[in-house]
Amino acid sequence: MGLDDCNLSSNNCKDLSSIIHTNPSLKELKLNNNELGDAGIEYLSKGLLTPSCSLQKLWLQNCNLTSASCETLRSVLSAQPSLTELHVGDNKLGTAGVKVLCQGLMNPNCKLQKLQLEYCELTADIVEALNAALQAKPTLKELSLSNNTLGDTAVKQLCRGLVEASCDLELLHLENCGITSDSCRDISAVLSNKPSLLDLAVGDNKIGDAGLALLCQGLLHPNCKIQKLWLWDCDLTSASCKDLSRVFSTKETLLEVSLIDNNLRDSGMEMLCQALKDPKAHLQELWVRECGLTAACCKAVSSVLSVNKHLQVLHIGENKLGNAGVEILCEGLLHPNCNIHSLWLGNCDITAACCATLANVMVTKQNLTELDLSYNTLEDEGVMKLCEAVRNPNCKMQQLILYDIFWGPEVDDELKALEEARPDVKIVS
Amino acid sequence: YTRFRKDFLRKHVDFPRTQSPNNNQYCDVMMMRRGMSSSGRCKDLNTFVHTDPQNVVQVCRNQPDRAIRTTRQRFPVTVCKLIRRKPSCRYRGTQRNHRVQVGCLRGLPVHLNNTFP
Repeated sequence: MGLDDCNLSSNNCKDLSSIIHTNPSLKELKLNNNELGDAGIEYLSKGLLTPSCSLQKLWLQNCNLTSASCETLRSVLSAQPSLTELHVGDNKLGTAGVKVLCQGLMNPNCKLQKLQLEYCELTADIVEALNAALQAKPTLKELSLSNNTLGDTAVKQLCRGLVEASCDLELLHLENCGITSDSCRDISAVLSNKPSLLDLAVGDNKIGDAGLALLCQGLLHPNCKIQKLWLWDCDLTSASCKDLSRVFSTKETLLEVSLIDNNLRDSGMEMLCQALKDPKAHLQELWVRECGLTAACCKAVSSVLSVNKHLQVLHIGENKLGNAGVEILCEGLLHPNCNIHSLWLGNCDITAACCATLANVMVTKQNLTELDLSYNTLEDEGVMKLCEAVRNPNCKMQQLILYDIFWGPEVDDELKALEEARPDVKIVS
Repeated sequence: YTRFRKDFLRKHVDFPRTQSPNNNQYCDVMMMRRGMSSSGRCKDLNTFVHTDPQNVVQVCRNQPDRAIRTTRQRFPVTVCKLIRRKPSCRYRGTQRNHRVQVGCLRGLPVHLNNTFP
C-alpha cells in the first residue's frame, strides 16, 4: 500500500492500524513524508504488533519521528519475523534511539534483511550497538547509514565488525559519513572479505586519490564481486584513473559506476576509456557528469563506443564538450557495435549547429531510446530539427528530454502536434 | 501566461520554502511533488527559487520577447542534482544565495537560464 506524501497525520494512524489489523495479507506499507510523529507510530504499532500481521516491508522516512518512536520499533522488530525491510531514514532518531532499535535487531525473532538509517542524526557512538546487531543478524543483506556524521574511527570499527559478522551483506551505503582516506584500508578489507557485497556507495566523502588507491586493492581482490560502485564527489582527480582503469578492465562483475563531480579531466577520462576497450570490461552504466571533461576526450570516448558492446548508459552531462566534442561522440554512437540506449548530454555547451548530427543519430540508431539534451542553447532552430527527426518513423526513441531550453511559441505548437503524430515518443520539458 | 504557470512557477519557485529536515530530502520531495521525478524518469538538475514570484516577474516587465535578464538582488535558491535513479530517484540538494537569470516572453519569465553568486 503506497501512501507516500499523502498529508497523513497521527490521527490517520488509528485507521491505518485497523487496516493493518484487518488485512493480514498486507505485505508492503509506504508512509514516507507524512507527519505521523511519535504519537502516530504509537497508534500504528497496535496494528503492526497483531500476531496475524505479516507485513514484510515498512517505509517511514521523513515522518517526524524521534527517539521516542524507537521503543515501538524495537517491539515490532522483536515480534514480527515477517518484517524484512525497514526504512526509517530522515527522522531524528539519534544514537540513543537507534541503540534501542538495535536491541530489536538482536532478538532472534527478527529476520530483517534491509535496514535504512540515512540522516538519522547518528554519531560514532552507534557503531558498537550496530556491530553487536550485525553479529546477531546473519539475515541482514542491506545496510544504509548515509548522511550520518560517523567519522573515520567509527567507520573503521564498523568495517571490522562487518568482516567478522556472518551476514552476507550485499549493499553498504556510507555516503556523506565523514569518511577520509583513513578509513579506506578497512573498507577495502570488507571488499576483499565479502564476496556477497554487490553495491558499495561511498560518495560525498573526501577520500581523495589516496583513499581510492586503497579501495582499489580491495576492489581488485579475486574475492570481490562488486557490481555497483558509487564514488561521486570523492575529491578524485585524474590520478585516480590509473587505479580505476585497472578495476574497469579486470573486474568483470562491475556493471554500474558513478564518478560524478570528480575532477577527472580529459587525461583521466582517456585512461578510463582505454580500460573500457578491454574485452573484460563489462561495465553497463557510467556516470561522469561534471568531471571537468572537454571536447579533447571525445575521441577516446567515441573509440570506446565503436568497440564496446556492453556500455548501455552514458551520463556525460555538465561537461564542456561543445558541438565539436558531441559531433565526435556521434561518430562512435553510430557504429554498429555501440549499444548505448541512454545518453545524457545536458548542459554540454551544445547549440543548434549540432542538431543535424543529433537528428541523424536519432533516426539511425534503433537502440537509442533515451536522449537528454536539457540545458543546452539549442534555440528554436535546433529543437525544430530534433522534432523533424521525431516525426521520422525510423526514430525509435522513447524519451527525448528537453528541459530548460528557451524556445518560442512556434516550438510549443510543434511539440503539441508531435504528441498526436508520435505519441510513442515522449518529449519531456 | 500558461508557460509562466506551467513551466516556470511549477518547476522553479517554492515560496515560502517547503519545510524539510534536510536539503537532500527537500529535493527528493519537491522534485516529486512538482512532477519532475516519477518512476525512474527524473530531471537531472533543477533549481528552486525561494522568493515571491513577483520579484522575478519584475525583471521581465516591459522587456522584449526572448530577452534574457538577471535579477539585481540575490535570492535563496536550492540546487537539486540527481545522484541515483534506482531503486528510486535521490537528489543532493545545496542551498545558495544567488542572482537569478531568466528568459522572458510577453513580459513574464518562462525559462530559468542560470543563477549566479
